[in-house]
Amino acid sequence: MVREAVLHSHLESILGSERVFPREEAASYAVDGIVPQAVALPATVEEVAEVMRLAQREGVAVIPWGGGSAMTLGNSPRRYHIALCLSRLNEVVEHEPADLTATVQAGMTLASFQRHLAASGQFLPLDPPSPQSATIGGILAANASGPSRHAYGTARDLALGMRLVMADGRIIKAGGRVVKNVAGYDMVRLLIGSLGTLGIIVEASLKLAPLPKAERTLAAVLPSAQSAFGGYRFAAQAAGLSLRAVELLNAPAAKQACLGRKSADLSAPDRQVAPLGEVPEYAFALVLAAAGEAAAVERSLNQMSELSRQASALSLTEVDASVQGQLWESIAGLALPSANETSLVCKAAALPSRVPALISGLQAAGQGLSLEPLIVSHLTAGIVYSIWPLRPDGTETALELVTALRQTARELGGSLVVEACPPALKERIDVWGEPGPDFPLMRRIKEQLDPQAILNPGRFLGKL
Amino acid sequence: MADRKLIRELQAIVGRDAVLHAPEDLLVYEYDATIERGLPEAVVLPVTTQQVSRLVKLARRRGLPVVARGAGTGLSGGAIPAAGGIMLAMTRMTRILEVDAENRLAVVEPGVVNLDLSKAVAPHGLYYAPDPSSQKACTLGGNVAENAGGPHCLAYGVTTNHILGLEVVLADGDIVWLGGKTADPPGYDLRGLVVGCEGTLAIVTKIIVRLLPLPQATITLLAIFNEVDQASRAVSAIIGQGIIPAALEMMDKVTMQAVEAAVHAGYPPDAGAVLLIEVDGLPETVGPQAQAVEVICSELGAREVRIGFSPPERERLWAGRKGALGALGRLAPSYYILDGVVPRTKLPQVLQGVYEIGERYRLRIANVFHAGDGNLHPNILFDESQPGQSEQVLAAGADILRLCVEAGGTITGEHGVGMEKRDFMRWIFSDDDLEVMSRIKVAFLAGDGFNPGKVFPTGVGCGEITSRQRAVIQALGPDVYI
Repeated sequence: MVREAVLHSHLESILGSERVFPREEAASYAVDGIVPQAVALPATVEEVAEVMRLAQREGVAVIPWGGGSAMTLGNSPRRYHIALCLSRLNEVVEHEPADLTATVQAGMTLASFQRHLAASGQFLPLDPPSPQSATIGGILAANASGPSRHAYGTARDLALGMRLVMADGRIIKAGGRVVKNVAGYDMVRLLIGSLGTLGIIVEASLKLAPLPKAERTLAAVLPSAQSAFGGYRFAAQAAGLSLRAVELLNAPAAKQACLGRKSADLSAPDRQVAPLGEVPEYAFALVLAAAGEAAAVERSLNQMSELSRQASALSLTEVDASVQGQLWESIAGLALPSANETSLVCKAAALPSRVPALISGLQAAGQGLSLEPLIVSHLTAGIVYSIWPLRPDGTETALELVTALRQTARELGGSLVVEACPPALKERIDVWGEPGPDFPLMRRIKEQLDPQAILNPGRFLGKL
Repeated sequence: MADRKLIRELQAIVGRDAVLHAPEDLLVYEYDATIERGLPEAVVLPVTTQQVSRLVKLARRRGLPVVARGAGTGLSGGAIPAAGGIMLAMTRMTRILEVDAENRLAVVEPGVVNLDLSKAVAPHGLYYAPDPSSQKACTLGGNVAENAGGPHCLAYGVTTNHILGLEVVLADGDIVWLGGKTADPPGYDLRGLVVGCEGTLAIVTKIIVRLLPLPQATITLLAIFNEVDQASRAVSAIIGQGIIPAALEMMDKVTMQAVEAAVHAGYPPDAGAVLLIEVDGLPETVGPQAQAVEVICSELGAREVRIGFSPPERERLWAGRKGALGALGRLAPSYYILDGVVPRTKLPQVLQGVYEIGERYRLRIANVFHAGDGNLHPNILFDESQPGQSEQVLAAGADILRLCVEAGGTITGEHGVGMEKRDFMRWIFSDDDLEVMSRIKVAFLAGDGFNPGKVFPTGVGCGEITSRQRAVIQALGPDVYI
């Protein structure tokens, strides 16, 4: 293995001294407490490739870094020498509005990409947490999504093509720029959600959507977890409706969403006091966004109101238009681990009809340990996030909790991924869950594309 | 011709009535909707996943390739046994195993016919969205293998957007599930790799599909233009204004004349081109949306926009559209169909280029295609019996695909690479791109065991078969659809 100083000077010879930071300045690039020997900031695709050729030659491990907003995801790195930061690759390469597609470099943040697109009345219909820092490449690598997946699906439904830098430094193309393409294997879908373990996404071509002409938000407060099932049913019945998002929040999550995490306080005096209505401790808030043509939005809200009444909603509130954007960003951000507290964030998935049972099961598992989570569910996708506050020394509790939560999810035919937890817990579990019978195939794909295991080693399923 | 021992071994797995090996029986399985031909040594019709697994193991032991076949409606030679071997005809695996209306999914076997699934789930108010024109015949297994598209994929996406999970048999005979019923399964998206792999990575034995609620309202419009150019400008204007219709199809004059002669579907044979457009959704919204489409078409020079078709009229229009390829048989004894894609804004210029290529080669070209997706289907009409014409057609076809690639597009949007286009892969992919792709085949341990001679250009991937270097000349037939 190459010495730190030598590695540093090799990197400087590729990037110049301004775009290489030594270990002493790399603390903010730590992953699970492991600080890299150097941070590299390439400004071109060719420089990314050169860094990878160096890494391959020297056998050092590289973690691709976008906005750093999802670095808690994954197991702890087995080795970590270079943080490869893509923030300098932040240009829109091509955007022809009438094609409803765009090609963008991986390091551009979602928020700045959206600003660019909004000028043409378009947007990328992905709304993961932290749009200000999350980058396009990072979102694709993590397959991050948010409430809008109800209407628009996920990155695998939106990505058309990519440029990739492979572990050996080769620059390759996957897919294309047109909306239909079946030439060759679908490497684009393979790379989405691979967490930088197969190749580094440096550019992506994406399907866009027209900005909806109107959007309104309705919150129905439902009396119990049981009636949340009714909540699901009415969302399902309302299939033809113009709904963008269908989120179910427990009372603590509703409260947190209204407080707004990193954004302005939604309960400030000049705002509506309780944008979602009063949510009693035992109750749930079903928050619905209707988006599209004004007439469709109107019709959707009316029908949802009627259905909510039938589901014996305690209250029904239309969220003030002036706060709804912030509220949705806040809801999407609920699943982010807090920067200054120790917490456990779990993402469970089951069939949508089992979400109420899943939520009850998660809550019951917490009660045994006297813990109460924030719960937020992408209801129609069957995904339930639970966010658990932990004491700093809470590794044993967390382990017990994760074991119980996984048991609950498994019994309902689902799975559970730990998206954030203390590093000490990562030594005891696979955050992705137990690998299944398809794992040998996954391992062979990793071995084929990154035979030296220098891309994000250890962080993927089965510690790949 | 297969040896007796092989036949006995196959029969031991699936029973006597599920193995075909007489030359006259094999002939029925040597074709698909292309005119490529290839004889398997034996055709086996399994009914269970276990049988498929045992068959794959047997073939591997014998060093014989395995080619899966659905209904044989494919348009790229995907179901042609290019190197002989054992053909698995999946047409007896036709059970719909589960319909979960509440969670909007179904579990089916690969031999289920596309349209039969939509019919079966219609009582629940649901349907399966991807609708290849061959949907009355084609199987879901074939759709998965080719990542099939269709007219209504503009708004709802192609096959891969509707597949949640697959049970597959790998090259070593192992049976595994890729993906599943629940969202975002941890790990690499192997399901996404197998969809569209053209049968080269695994044999699909069960499919979990996503179902959609039937739209509450649908309005069909027929916009009639004197010039193709006007129609293609209207296409990108509609998309550019943020309207994404459920379907946006174009047909040119040559095609309409053929369709009208064949089925009297209601198209104006004197027009230069029509757009067949469908908007769907809530009753409140389809009206204004149809009106907006109407305005755009009129502004771009439509001489007439017809609207308000009765259900039988709508059905006839679609029957005409989906049967267009068969109808073209009235105009010429043979045709060669292409499947290029271009960015939607490039449609006017590329279409013009397509017609110019036709003039240059003195060949008639009929265009009928998924305009909203920029997915062109130029059909070159010709007479195979005329000496030298086939070569001219192939050259013209290559020029057209080259034009699509130069406009920023691709060589196939929904038919697959198959045999005919594999040497065009180098136009869109570098050696490195293809080498990385071929490593996936290595990871699946597939080698040349599954559907050899497809997808990869000669010289890439595992091993090499002698390519006949013959692009596909479409035979005439009523069972051919685009």
